[in-house]
Amino acid sequence: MILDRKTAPARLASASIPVMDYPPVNLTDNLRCYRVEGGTEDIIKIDIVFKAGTRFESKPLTSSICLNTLKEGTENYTAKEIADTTDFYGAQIATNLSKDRAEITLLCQSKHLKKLIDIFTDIFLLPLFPKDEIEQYKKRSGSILAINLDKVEFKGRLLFSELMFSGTPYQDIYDLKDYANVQIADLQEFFADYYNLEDSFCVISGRNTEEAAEILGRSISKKNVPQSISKLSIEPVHWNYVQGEKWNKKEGAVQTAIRMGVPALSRNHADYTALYIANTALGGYFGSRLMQNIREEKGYTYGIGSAINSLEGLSYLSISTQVGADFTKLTVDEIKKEVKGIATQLINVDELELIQHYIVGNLLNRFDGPFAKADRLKTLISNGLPPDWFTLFSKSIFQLNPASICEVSRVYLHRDLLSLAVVGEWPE
Amino acid sequence: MIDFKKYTLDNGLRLIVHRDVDTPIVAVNTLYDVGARDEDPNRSGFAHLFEHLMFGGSVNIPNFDNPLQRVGGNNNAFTNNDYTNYYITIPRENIETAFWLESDRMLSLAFTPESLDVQRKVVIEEFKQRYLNQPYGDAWLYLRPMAYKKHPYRWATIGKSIEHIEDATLNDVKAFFKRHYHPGNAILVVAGNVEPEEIYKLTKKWYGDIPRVETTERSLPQETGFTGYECETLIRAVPQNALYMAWPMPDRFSADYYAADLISDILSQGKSARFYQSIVRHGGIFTSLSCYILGSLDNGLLVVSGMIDADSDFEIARNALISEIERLMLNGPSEKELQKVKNKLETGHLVQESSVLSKAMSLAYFELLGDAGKVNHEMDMYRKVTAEDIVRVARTIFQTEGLKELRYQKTEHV
Repeated sequence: MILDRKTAPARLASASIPVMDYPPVNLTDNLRCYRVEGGTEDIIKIDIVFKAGTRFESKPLTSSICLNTLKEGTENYTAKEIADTTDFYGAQIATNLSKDRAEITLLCQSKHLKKLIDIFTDIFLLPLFPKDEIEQYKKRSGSILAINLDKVEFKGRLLFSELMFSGTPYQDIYDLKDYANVQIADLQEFFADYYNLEDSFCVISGRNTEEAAEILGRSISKKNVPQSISKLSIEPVHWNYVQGEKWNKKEGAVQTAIRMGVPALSRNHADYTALYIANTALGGYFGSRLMQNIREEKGYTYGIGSAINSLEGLSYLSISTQVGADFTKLTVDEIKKEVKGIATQLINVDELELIQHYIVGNLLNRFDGPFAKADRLKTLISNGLPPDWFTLFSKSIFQLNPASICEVSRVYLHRDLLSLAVVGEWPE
Repeated sequence: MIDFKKYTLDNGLRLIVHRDVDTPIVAVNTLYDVGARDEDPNRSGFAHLFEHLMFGGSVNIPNFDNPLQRVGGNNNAFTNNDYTNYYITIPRENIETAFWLESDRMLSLAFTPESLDVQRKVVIEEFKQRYLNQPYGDAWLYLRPMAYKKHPYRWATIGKSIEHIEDATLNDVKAFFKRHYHPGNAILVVAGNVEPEEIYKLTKKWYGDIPRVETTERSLPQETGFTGYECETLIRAVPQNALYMAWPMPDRFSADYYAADLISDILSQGKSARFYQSIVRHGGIFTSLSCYILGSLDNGLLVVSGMIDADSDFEIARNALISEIERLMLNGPSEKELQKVKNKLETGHLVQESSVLSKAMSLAYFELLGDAGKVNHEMDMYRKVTAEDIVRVARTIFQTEGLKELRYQKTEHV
């Protein structure tokens, strides 16, 4: 039999996305804990997620310095003891800061958990912020920031953020001079106000999560740290978005950073799925219109993409790329053309079908293994979404038609709404 | 422990199947035994440019990505100095689509002057983005030719210069494919909730009729001995002075490779490591300082790189790190310190085994090293390393006659 190499094998299934049914238990009086059991290796991961993101700081850099110096010394352990012990047991204590949340993670072999747990809990219960260590941290961190500030990509991100979010707590502000303004007292105050177990949750993933939860609960309880009553009151974000455009020169840059954006929708909005599909078509995957046009046809860039970012107080869609300096203006025009296409013309059925299957297959990838599942669960909890949200989302992807997608795109991707930030050196 | 079954087709294609029932996706990983080290010195950057062209459609299928995305699949690829690796993840029910696509582009590509022209431009933009348009981005464009005088590691994967990429012709591309892209030069790994025998059948069905091509033994010019201390200074508008130091180290097959890797960890893995505790945390000399190995298959490099504090200078900074290295060579690591870096590697190894795609990549890589089963014995090799090995290997590596040094000296903005 001669093999038919021209015809694609039939699609036998669409990916189906599991319901994230992980009911929480109270680990202590005030800490909710979720367990995602799984995996073949003796590895455990504990994430503690606080509502302590950048949006809560009143002085720029406070939330970031606070989170990153929790490990620099606590009531029971010095910075060196913390580093020595975690490293000795081959463990990792990592931190992750977003606009809304601050996260502290312990990753270790289950067999070593008992030896590490008291250090780990000290970090988010009893940090000291020692002056010397903080000053050294500021210097090291400032050095990394200085390098970032020399990149068009980073400068473009800051400029874009200023255009989109100035006046809201969501603007990215990174300035070297701000390091001097953040004092120990600011860190202590920020910690006291925002690192409350009451406002946090915990996700344990990997092997033997039940035992890990007990170990963690015991360690927290025995420290008997008085928890202040949560002072956190999250006010709705007032976002008076005004479209803006700014072109900043950076001498000698051989590539230009371009960012464009519009306000978008949160995950629980009725039109989110439609906008999500529109965004995928525009720049959400390798076969997207922007990628095909700007990279695969014209070769102006190594990569271009777009994404919907759903923060807890606002959502936006952003398009970003770095292009050869000579192609700066051509690229801006082409992006506008592609946005207009999505907003004004019906997507063809063939393209839609491809995108539907791509979105769900790609989502399934993000459920590979217990740690990936834990990350998805964190998204649901942080955004107050139900356990079957991903499942329903993946089904709703197939229920939309070109007209309904275009209807939503016309409203949200209107060209008059597009803000534009450009950093580089382009020929006039 | 990663269990697997290995098969070899008549045309020389090696197939490795790993069963993992816990995951809804399947990883299909194809490694070709060709990297930047196999390039003509006047056609550098070719293996990587070629990787881009592999997505431009094959003899029977005009578009690679489109049909894959249509069944919920995802894919990408990377090239390094030693090999080129293509990978797909796909819902397990639709796995045959991956076989159909991957086998067709092994059979024959459909090259067009247009796709070559566009991908040349894309790679030039990649060159600018990664190497030219950020501070210190071009360090390896300078360090490699200092460290290697004969071996093709003297150029980076992206190529020696933009001109080499601009000059690539369609004939070059065709010749490169013929020589390196055939079953005997490839390793196919499939990992996921699959039956090995079923996968073997699918592999025979889709790859069985791709003709065998005789492979020629690789014979690359090797470095012979130390080539002397060299120091180059680049005067640039960078935020901070930076120092890079590179020493030759044993190849991937050498028993001493593992000790060299552990040396780099003892010096700089984590905040408990020597560089951080003895130098960085006190401030005033380096704001960051790290040590790592490149992990190449042929003779490698052990690298120290650091950002120098504005209050310090090259001589002070250099002396500080050299004396830490000398301290290690003199007294060796403590047993606890050695245990620590081994523990850290062990955790890393286990984490890697928590994703089906990284397991597939590991199996392909170790098969390239000669035996996929080595993936399960790698930790034993590290466990065997003694404190004496560390001292002995450190003394062979850290010799001034082999040292190449690159400095970025900051100009004041006017």
